[in-house]
Amino acid sequence: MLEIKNLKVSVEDKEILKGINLSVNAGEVHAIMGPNGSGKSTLASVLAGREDYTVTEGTVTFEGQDLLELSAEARAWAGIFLAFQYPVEIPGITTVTFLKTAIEEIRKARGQEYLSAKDFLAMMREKAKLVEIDTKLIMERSVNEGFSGGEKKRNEIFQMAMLEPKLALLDETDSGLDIDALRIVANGVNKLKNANNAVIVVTHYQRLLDYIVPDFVHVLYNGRIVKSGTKELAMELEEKGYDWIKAEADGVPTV
Amino acid sequence: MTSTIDIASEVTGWVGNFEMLKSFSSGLAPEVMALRNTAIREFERLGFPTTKHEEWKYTSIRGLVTGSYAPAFRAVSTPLTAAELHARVLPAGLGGTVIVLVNGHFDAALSSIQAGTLQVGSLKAALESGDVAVMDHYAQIAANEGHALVALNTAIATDGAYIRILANTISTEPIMVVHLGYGDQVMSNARTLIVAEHHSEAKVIEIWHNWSDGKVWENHVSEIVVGDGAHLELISIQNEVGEFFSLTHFAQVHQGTGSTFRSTVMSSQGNIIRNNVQALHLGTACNTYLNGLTLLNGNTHVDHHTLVDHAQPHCYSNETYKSVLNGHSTCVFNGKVMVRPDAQKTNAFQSNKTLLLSDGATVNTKPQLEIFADDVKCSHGATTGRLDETSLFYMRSRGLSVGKAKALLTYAFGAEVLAQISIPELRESLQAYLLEKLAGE
Repeated sequence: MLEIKNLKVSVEDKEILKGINLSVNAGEVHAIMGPNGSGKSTLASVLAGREDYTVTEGTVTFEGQDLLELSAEARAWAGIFLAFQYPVEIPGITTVTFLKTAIEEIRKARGQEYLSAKDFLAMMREKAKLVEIDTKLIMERSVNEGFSGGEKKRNEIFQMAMLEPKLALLDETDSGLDIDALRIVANGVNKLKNANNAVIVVTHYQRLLDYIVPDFVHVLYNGRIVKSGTKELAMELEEKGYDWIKAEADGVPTV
Repeated sequence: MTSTIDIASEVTGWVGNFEMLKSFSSGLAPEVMALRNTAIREFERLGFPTTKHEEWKYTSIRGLVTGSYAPAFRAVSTPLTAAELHARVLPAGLGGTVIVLVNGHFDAALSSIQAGTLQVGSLKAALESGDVAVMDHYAQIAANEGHALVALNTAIATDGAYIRILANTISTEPIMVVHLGYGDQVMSNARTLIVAEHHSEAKVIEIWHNWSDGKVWENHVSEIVVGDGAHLELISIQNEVGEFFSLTHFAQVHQGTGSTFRSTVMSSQGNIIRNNVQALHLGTACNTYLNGLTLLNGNTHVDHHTLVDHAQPHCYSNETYKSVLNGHSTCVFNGKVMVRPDAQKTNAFQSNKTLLLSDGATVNTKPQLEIFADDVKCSHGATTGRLDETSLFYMRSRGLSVGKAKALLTYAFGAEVLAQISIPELRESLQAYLLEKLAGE
């Protein structure tokens, strides 16, 4: 589904990603872990099409298409979704209006039929229930405005549920969540998971992975994936921290 | 220096107009004539404001003053029918009382008055009848001193709208006042007097409209009394005035104890538009909300001057002015908040936000807080910028095209102001208008 080859990315001449290789297939959950500043969020943003970054080398293919050629919206039309680390507040627009517009645009771009107001509403109620979000929050309030950290993250997962992406990128979705909110958000993701879609979970801590169990864990350090493994690798990181990985990657022997 | 000379000679011309007006205003009471005489002397003393005047620094009316506008002393009839008025000028879905002024003159055929708990109609007729309620307030609310255009209006205003909401009554349907311009090189001087007596409640919609392709300049004065415990909402719509319409409007509001005054102005067309709104608190526990949405393109120039005069303790004021500027348009916001020594426990907030959509558009914003009491909460904020890139990316990442994301963000920016309008039909029609305008850009 997603094929990243030797991806190098800079921001204002500073190289952040220094050659990423990653392959994600349908039905898989990948976790990208790593210490702060390792480039995790940059990778998620670049895949979603954020324009502040310059891709200097490498390729990203999504279902056979050159992803880097596509605008942010065209990536959404192709089925990519980024759950933001810091969801944006949009005063004056309810989540419902926002999503209605988004779905209209996506369907138009895909040449699909227009979704009737009735069907949209039914879908909304179903998905709201699925991710346990209060419908008042999405029908009456402006997008994320005045929401608590947990409500914002839940709204991200709700939007993901509505847009039914093929590839979901969850950027530090666990940050700022208490254990109950974390469980609700993770449950939402698990319920949406199926054999035809894939999820990339970007996280600093292992705790989200107790709930969203990854098939693969990759450790990003200093702009490169320095270690890949299964969920046991995440456990090991939780226990031992990142220092041993850094030492290994930097070629310094551990004490 | 020729500009000063031009304008000075124009003043002489207008004083001459005043003399002419006297000959056909025989029906007026001597006290009204006395008010006019004093006013014309004040106008003569002040002359038309130029950009050297601090309050007119960013708004030049030189083109209007030297533009050979003739006073609309006589009523004219238009080919407009009441049915057309409803279909093309009035907001959809609203009924009730409609007062139509054509070039400042009350037009009985186009107006439809539903009396009930209201006393509404021609200001001239009310003045001629010697109505005590009118004489108590007429030219007593808006000061001529220091305001040349108010003084000129007081001196030569021929007619206008009079609205009196009787004490302890609620006017459920909004009262509409249509200011229709008609002709070319016409300057009308009309006046609105609104008296919301104590514990009354009403909503007034002012609609400015140019029913001609000609140049029309309205120099308008509104005197508004919001009695003790009264609630008055005023919505001013300046959307369908075309590019040849100019407005200099001075609205002075006097608020009694526990009263609420809420004003929303939406401006999206015109040549030069100047809106002054001034609220003075005469009693404690007043609430004042002044809001404006300005949506401009082309060369339109819109200037909002506000003053909230907190003269009494425990009052609240909140101003939200937003503008979306495109083309070579200009917007001015000058918001003054005065907190006098007695006005302890004042809460006064002000915000002015502008979205600049083109390189040629300009905004001049000047918040002015003058605080002479110590136990108060006051704040002001002004921002000018473009659409937030992070918000745009957020929306695009959910599948909205750049154009759609921009339109929706801009809409949301403006709709926040319109959301404060309490008449659902009007709010929705203005929101739809906003959406339509943005989709077209």
